[in-house]
Amino acid sequence: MLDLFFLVILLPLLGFLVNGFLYRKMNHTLAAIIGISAVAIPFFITVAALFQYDPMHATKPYNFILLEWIHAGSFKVNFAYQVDQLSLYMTLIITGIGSLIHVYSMGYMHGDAGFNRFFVYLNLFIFSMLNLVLGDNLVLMFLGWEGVGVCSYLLIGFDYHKSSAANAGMKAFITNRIGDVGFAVGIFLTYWYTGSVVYTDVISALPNAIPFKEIINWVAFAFFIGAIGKSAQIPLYVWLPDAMAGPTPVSALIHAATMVTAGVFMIARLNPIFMAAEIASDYIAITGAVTALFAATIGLYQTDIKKVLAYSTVSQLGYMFLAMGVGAYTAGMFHLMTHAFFKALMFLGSGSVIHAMHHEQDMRNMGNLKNYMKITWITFMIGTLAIAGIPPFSGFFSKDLILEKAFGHHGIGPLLWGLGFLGALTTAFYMFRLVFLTFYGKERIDHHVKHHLHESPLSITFPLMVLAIGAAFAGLLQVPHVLFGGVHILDDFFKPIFSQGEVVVQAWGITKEPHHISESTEILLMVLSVGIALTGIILARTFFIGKGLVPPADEGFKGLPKVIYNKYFIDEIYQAYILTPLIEISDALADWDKKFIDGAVVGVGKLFLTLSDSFRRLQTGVVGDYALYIVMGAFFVLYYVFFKGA
Amino acid sequence: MELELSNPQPLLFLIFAGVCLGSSLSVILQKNPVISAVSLVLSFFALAGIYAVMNAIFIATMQVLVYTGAIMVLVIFVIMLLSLREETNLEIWRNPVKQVGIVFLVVLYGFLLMAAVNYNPEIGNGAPVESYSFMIQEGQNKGIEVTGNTASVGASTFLDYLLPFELVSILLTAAVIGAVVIAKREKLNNPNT
Amino acid sequence: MNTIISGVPLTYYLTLAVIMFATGVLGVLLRRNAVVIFMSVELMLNSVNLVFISFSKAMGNIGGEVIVFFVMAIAAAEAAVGLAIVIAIHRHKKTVFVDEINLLKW
Repeated sequence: MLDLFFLVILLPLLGFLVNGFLYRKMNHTLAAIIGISAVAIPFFITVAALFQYDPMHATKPYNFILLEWIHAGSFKVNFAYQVDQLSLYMTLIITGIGSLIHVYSMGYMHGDAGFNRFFVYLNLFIFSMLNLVLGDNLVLMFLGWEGVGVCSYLLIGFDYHKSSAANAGMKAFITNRIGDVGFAVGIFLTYWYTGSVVYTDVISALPNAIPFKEIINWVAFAFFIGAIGKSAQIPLYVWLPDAMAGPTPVSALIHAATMVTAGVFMIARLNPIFMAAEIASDYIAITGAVTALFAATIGLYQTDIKKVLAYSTVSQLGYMFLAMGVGAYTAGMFHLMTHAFFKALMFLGSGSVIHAMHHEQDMRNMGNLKNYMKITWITFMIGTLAIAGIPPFSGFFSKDLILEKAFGHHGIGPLLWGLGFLGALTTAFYMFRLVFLTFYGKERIDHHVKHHLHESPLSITFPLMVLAIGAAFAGLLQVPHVLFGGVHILDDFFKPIFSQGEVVVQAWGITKEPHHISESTEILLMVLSVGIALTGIILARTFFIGKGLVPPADEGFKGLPKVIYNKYFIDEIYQAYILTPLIEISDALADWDKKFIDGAVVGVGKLFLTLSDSFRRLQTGVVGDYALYIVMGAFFVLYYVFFKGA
Repeated sequence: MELELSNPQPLLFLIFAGVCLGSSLSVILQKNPVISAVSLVLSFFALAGIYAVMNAIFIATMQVLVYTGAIMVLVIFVIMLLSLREETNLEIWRNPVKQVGIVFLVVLYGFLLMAAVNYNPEIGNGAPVESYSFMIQEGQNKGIEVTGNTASVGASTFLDYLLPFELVSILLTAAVIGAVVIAKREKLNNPNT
Repeated sequence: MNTIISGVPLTYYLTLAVIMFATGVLGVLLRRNAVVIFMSVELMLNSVNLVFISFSKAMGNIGGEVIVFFVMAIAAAEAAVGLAIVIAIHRHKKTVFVDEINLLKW
């Protein structure tokens, strides 16, 4: 099956092209089937390839080339792909959850005028994302990086008639691009100091690249800036909540499971660089932890069901970066997968709710939906339990692993743990707030909506069920040692990948303090995690079921809640202090351009006009003058011959 | 300045040269075109005389026959036909372009004069009586030898320069045809022509 | 090469030719009457003829006189065509003054 692995890349591209050229005339069902199979078939190929590759024992990647791309002197970059544990892991997530979301879209987007177009963009997105994770060099990853940015723009602004959606698409793309500057700088530095962009070449060149070692923190920081943009960390997270203007499947696929995790993936792929860059890694960890808590607090007061989920995504991404920052790469990737399951599940569930409620998204107009939509309610509950960190659901294992590794980190470890701990409390609270406001309590549903309220069709509920299974049981891949001896499948799975970093660290003579916490501390931390989660749930229950609290209307927020409800006015601050001065500078430069540069160009034309105007006076039309010109010409020739010789 | 005025030839040359110069100036300076034409005729005669002094008899004859007898007659015909009036005034000094032209002319004249005066060839023998010889076939002693100016010119034209001669005849034919076509009257539809 | 032709140095002939030529050029540039301009051109041609003859005599080469013969033929042809043009222009514009023939003026 590994021979056929190129189909994994090609089939989404084919789906994009076929649907893209024929989308105006194509039958809707056919378009959907093409779109779904373009992602589902690669999923099955990947599963088969997984068995053939035998990741638990394989130590070397499988490479293949699709197309030669750039051959400029000694700089060679190809459409070449590297199949190893890390890329297989990501590919399974992308194609697996991707195909479920494609199936979901068939039901969700039913009746939408742009139904065919949706699948075109989705397939293009899958193609770009696969290039990102499967590429064997930094340039191909950057291609995929930009490609998913473009698709994000296209999909967020899918209802391009709505100005809120169009603006959100632009905001997402521009904010991403700001981060991409850092990514590009990182690529340049890597190429400059190691002479290649292909991962295997770079990693083998690293032990000897001593100048690179001097600047390794800057390189890691540059790459991290790219991750900040793509994965919505502070300060470039502002696009993700606005991106909820896109259709819900888009939010589930792109802004929960795959695109936003590209930053985390990048750090995992470049783990030699990050393992050796201690200062940058500390910075990453701090950013992740602060973002986790910060975003969680904003989620406390949101009333739009998708906005709550958006801020929770930012928060959970913060946890992933916290893990990558303290060097717990396996924990970060673990949380990436569990988050993909339960966040996609919850987004799709919210989509089911929104679909049934005729595009009502405000939680203040919901309530007691569990009586109407049983499957959605149960699956959503599973997702919420997972994110809150209740065992035995998956979120508990991954989040707990992160917090434990953070605690054991030298220096600021306990501080990071504290931030993450508070974040866990907040997460549990606001997620259950969402569940209680939506599915429990008094019905605040509008009359007309209530008439048509029923469970969503199978195309919507089937993915929910599959994802719920994943959200429930995926955590069992990595269980701590203290619990029944533990399961370390993921540790062994990722060992060949992350040992590359350890080799480089050793070659450069960097000593890392070992993470070691005693078993008793581990158990204590675990108990605290569960306890704090349960505390959050009980608090939410008290407020929103016991007291039946409902968030007030928009004007009803006062004081600190008002600040938090308005996202700490961060967008307004950016607008006033960054965007407005930039626009003024651009206007001034545009004026300068018009005056001087356009003036110079026009001036050249005017110069020639003036010249020709004076020259045309030679043609007087009087024959005598022409005779004079003849004589003058003859005279010049004669003089030349006389003085210079023939 | 080694002119032996005791011999007739240098004296004749001086007379003829003076007449020629005077009448040339008169050609360009006279307002009446008829007087210009007549002075040109006079200068042609003087030139023919100079050719004779130089012993180029054939050319002198040709000069009188062709230039004065044909060309100037044609010119005078045209002047009479068109009833040309006098030019009102000589507008030499008005146009700045023409002023520049005059300056250039003076300089040109000076240049040519310099070339003429500085000319200093080697001294050799010149044959007082001209002769011309032409080999019909190389190697063998079959040649044509003629003596006398006219015979030399004729022999040279028809032996060495036969091709240009024929081409000139074509040229003359073309010129005649062209002149006829250009000066032709329009079709007589218009009673005013 | 003989620098004295019939008792007169070669340079005298050349000087005469030069003066005639300059006179002819002046006539072309200064006169307005087309026929007079034509006559000045004839003057120039004659000065060149004189130069050719002088050098033919000086170098003992009969080719110079042959060239003069051809020049005369060509001058005749030129006279015919040139005067035909003058007549044609006069027919249209009723003038022979070249500064009045300025339809192509800018």
